[in-house]
Amino acid sequence: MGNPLDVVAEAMPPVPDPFCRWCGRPAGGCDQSTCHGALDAPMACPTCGRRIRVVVIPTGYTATCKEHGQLDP
Amino acid sequence: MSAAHRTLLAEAATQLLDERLPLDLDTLRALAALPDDMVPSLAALAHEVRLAWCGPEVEVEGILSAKTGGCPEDCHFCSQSSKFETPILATAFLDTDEVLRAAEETARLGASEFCIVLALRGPDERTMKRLLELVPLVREKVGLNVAVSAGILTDDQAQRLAEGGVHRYNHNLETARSFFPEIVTTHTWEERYDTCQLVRDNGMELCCGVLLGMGETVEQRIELIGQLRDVEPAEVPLNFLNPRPGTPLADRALIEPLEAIRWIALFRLGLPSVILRYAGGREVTLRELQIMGMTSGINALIVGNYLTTLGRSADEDLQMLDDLRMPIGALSKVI
Repeated sequence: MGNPLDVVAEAMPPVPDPFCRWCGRPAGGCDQSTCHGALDAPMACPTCGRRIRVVVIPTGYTATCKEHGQLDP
Repeated sequence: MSAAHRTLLAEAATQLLDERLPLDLDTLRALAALPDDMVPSLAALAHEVRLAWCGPEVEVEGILSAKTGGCPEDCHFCSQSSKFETPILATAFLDTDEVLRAAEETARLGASEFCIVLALRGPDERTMKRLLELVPLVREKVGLNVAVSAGILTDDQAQRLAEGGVHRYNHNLETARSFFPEIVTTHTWEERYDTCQLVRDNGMELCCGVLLGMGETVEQRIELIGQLRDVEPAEVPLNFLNPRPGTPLADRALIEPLEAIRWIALFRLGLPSVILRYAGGREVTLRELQIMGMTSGINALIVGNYLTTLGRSADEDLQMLDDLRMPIGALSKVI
């Protein structure tokens, strides 16, 4: 039997990021469907909206905010 | 399909396949004007030409932006130019460990080539020293051929990079000479041409790519094929514009998929012996026709992600090659 807390977590809607991961505007300030393409890596920190250091390698990428550290892909 | 169109294709096939002679630009111009319903036939000829001139192997390469953004040049398509307000954060030259990790990941995908790309006008002495440290390290530790893309070179720099083990140097013409001033104003097409010559003069293979979809005309694409013939590249990466936010070309429409296939085929027919590589923008431009590009003259691809944008997964590309029974191999130009 799985952890009941996991079941609860799955049922809850995801918490929206305070800032757009692509344009860095506050949530609601952009249309995320048009401010990035399907194959764009994130370019802004979802916590503070700062531009982030993105290192793209053939098999993936890392994104790091100066303030909030490495972001989850 | 008219009789005249069929004759045109048949004559091109005879010239390229039986006589092994390149087509003149007038013939390419006529082929560029074939109706849409003949594009699959054009593509089929290009595939035959690729097999006859280059063989069945497909070369797989990984690329890495080792120094991103902050470029002083104003290439209007590029999100790494410091002249435009783009979301790209400039980052310094990556650490050696980061470069080696990317090369190792590339090798795991079955690639034979790894290209280290730097966003700059040309390398300063510090950059040259870093490159000359990295290139032998990647070769020895990972076993890949190493390509470099570091902008405009002097003769001395080209010589040092060649002696330092750079297998292939990338320097794109991007577009036709007559259209170039619309796209770049901080350096000239001639400066690019000169670097291309230096690369070859110093014994490196020249990788000289193009970017289609920036507003150039059909005639300018034909002009570009002629100019590529002049610089004699071993490899031509074929990029399609993927408009980047904040750049002057941000609002340009994508090339339509079938039109992209037409031009893949025409580049193969115009440059029958080169390594013609699928590069940036193919996913968004070709969509479901990516596999068709592989049978339209392409014989190499950049696998996985690009410099600042993501590609489709390497597994999808490798599966595509497997499904097509196209063997992966290292390629050199067939003269």
